[in-house]
Amino acid sequence: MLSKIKDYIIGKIHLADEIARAKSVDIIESEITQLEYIFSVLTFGEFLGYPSVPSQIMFELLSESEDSINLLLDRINTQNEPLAELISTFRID
Amino acid sequence: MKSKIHFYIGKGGVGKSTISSLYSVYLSDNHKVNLASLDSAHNLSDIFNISFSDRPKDISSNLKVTEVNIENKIKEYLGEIENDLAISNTNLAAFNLLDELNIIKQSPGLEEYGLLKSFSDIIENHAEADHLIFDMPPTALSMKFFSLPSRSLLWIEKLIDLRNRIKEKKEIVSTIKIGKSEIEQDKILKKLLELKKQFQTFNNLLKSEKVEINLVVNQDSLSINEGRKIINELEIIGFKVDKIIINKFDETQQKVSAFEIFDQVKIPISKEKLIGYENLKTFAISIF
Repeated sequence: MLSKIKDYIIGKIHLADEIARAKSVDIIESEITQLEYIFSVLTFGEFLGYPSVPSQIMFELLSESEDSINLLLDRINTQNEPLAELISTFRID
Repeated sequence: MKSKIHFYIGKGGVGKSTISSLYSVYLSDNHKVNLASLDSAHNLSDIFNISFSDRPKDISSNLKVTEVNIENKIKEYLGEIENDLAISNTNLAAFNLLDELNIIKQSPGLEEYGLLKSFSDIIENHAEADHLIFDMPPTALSMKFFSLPSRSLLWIEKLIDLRNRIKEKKEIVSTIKIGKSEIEQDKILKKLLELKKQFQTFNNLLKSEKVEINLVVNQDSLSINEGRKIINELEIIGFKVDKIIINKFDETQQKVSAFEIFDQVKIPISKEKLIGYENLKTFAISIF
């Protein structure tokens, strides 16, 4: 009987741990996306009309920057609802 | 590298090409000298009365002259970028779309980088010379050339800092998810670190004792005022002018009081036309 209670409590702790990990990972991953976005703007901001990195640095990074450019393009589609993404990340109802 | 590097800068038309040619001819009497024009409006061919190109031409046993083609250098560089893009986007080759990238070669705003690349090539290919003499383009482009390494380093360091923060966060996510830090190599960070090393090398070289910056002026107020601005701008980015060369000096004209704290060399007006190696040599021996 005691061992069943113990297993039950351990199961609940694991579940709580998993939920907490998933939530913290979500927030950190969202922060990573924001940092990647800042990196993209600094590197390829010229495409959006912002002052950006000297051209030669942009050219040197171009071949490795498919993801950065995709991120910029995605942002164009979601830019109308900037708060929605934030609210969803922090799970505010 | 054993070579001493001499830059000749100043307002357009003050005689940078003539002065750098005179010094080159003079120094080549006892030393191996390579004179290169980084100004796209090349004058060295007219001064030596010989046609020059990207390939160094022997003028005497100790003197080689090159007129760098900056436009070609930029095209060559952008061609390399185009190849990198083709390698990282192999699917383009599958659809025969690589030609669509040709337009990259026409990108504007890379003159100063073309200059830096040309400078780097000459340094690498003529390390045996005792003196490398550079006839520089007019002020604006020369200033961009000198500031390019430190300006680029500011950006690169900021970008490296950002990539490192992203890497740290990814490691945290990986540790939480799978219990250990296991993330893919960041290719952008690798490229940025390579660029940092490259620009640091340029910056250290340009600010080393091996480099001498000579400012060429005339006795007119426009050239003197621009000379002052050049000294100030160079100071802001951590360079100092070593010598002021007053070209076409005439004692009867106004004194050049703006540059008293600098070493000054006064070059009088030549009675003969300074065209051709022999004329340059005769005049150089008489004044230095």
